[in-house]
Amino acid sequence: MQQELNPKKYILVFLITLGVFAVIFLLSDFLYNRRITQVKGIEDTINRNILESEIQYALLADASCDTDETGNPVLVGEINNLTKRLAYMEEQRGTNDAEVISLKKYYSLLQAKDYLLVRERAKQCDDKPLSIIYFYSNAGNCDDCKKMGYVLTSMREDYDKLHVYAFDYNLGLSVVETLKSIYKLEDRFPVLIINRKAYYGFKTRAEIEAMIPELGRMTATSTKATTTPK
Amino acid sequence: MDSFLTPPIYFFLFLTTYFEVFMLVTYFEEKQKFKFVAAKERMPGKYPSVTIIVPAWNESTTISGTIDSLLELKYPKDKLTIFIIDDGSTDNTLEVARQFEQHPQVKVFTKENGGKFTALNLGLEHATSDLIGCLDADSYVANDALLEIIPYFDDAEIMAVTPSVQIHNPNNLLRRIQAAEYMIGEFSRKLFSRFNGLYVTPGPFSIYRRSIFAKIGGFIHAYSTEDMEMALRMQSHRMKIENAHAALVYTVSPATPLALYKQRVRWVSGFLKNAFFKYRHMFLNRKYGNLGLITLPFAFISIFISLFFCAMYVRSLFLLAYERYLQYSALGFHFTARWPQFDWFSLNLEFRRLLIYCLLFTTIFFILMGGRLVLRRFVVTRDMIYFMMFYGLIAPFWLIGSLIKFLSAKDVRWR
Repeated sequence: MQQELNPKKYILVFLITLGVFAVIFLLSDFLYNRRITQVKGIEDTINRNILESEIQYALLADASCDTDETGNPVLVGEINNLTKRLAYMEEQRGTNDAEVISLKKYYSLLQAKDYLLVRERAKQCDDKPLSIIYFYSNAGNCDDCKKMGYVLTSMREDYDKLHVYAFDYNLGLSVVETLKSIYKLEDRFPVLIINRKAYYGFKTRAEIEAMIPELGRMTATSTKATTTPK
Repeated sequence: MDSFLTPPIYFFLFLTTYFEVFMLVTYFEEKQKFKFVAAKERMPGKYPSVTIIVPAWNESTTISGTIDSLLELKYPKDKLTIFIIDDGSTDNTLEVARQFEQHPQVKVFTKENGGKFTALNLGLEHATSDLIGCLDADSYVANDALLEIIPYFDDAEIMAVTPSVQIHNPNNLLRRIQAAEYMIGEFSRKLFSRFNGLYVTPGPFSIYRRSIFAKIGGFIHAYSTEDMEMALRMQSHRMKIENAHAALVYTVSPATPLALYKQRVRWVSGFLKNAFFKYRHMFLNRKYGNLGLITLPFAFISIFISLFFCAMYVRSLFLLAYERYLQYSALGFHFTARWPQFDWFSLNLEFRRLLIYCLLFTTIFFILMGGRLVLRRFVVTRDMIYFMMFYGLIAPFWLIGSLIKFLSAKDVRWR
């Protein structure tokens, strides 16, 4: 049996405990910095992709409308990648974190670019773009926004030609502000823009499918799994 | 809300880490003491005389098994006496006990009902042996349990030895959770004993030197936790208590949530009442060594730490369930045939979470070590998995119940 009172042991244990805290803190800091580096890498890729997409669009302008290039695969891949990481960052760091907001702005720009390309390509080919613009709010407790997120994510997964663009209503990005003023949006959430018309409140999958009859003619397919931020 | 909770979370995490590091350091210092050495035959004259007192009140269904297991103990018959004390049972406990009177080792007493401590004290009055043990009438001893305990008394400073109490026949979920809990409990008890920090001498088969009762008196009611009070009283007189991890004793545990709740409220509120009404002076008192500075303060604060982390666990489960509900209300049963994709990026590795992972690993180590002490090998059992999943959900009930009972105690004696 050990001696009754052992101040040296108490101090040793205290120092080990501090050491454990310090090592875990450094490890967590290291891992977070690696993530930030990853995020910066994604942002750089986005910048390059936006440029690439403009070139791609210019090339597609000469292409026949029979080709199946109605979307922009480079951007879609990046959007999906970024969406997952953004959802994680939002959960971990909170919606007010500077890195999260910065990444969200890049995400919004990328989506806006994709939206424009899809729309232009559709106009060029006299086609109707299959897209949904979705505004959500992180302010307050918007359960309907979360539900809407699940529905849109599942639809994006099932219809590979459907483009879903999710924007944080309160992001303070000029592009988002412009979209808000174009569609004269009210502060009610969630809101969907389908065929240039705003729909407020939660909409079921069936309701959305009814709003976009083209989806009915399309066979639901499995593509890459993505998540839509709420 | 989260920023408001941050300071207490880190405070509790630091305290818990400190305590677990203290335990681990003790383990690595005293690793040799956790080994199993087969109990050796002793010279015929080296067996001290032992009396085992079995207090019984309405235990007719279990008492024969208890007495049988005592009669099967590997110990010289002339050195072992068994006292059955019927505490005014209203069933046929006395009749069942009387059937064993044919054995010369067994003596049966009966008295008016007065509580377990009065039955134990009647046994103490009649005992003349060197050592005295107690065994609840719903517990069973392994046949080498006494042989494992006796060598500890070769050290003249040791005044009591506790066994390794385990669950008898864990045949439902609740009992399986308790079985894993008792295994961890044994590892903790062994560690506590290494730095003289034990504060319970469990009812099932704790053995005492008879001489201590002359010095510090017999058992008292002590809020129905007379075994805890006796250990605290011994510690307050600086008497050493050891733990014999190889001495296995099996006890019948509560099988229903209500019975478990009542038992645990009695234990936890009993600890709080004994500790605060009678032995408050031992807390943070250098005179009482590791017990006063480490074990008792942590035993007290761990109630709140457990409640806090249980609340966080319940909150996480609630949020997960709520998210699933929202998902269901949005999509119904909409399944996609995709494999979940693992992404390191999505793994939560922030500071607080890493600390909790670290404590979780230590808990798993404690569970495995407890399993090794009891089952004598490293093994992951179903009970351990149930314990990890469900203990955090059921413990808050009795912790809150105990605090309420403690705070509303009518016989509060602060001075």
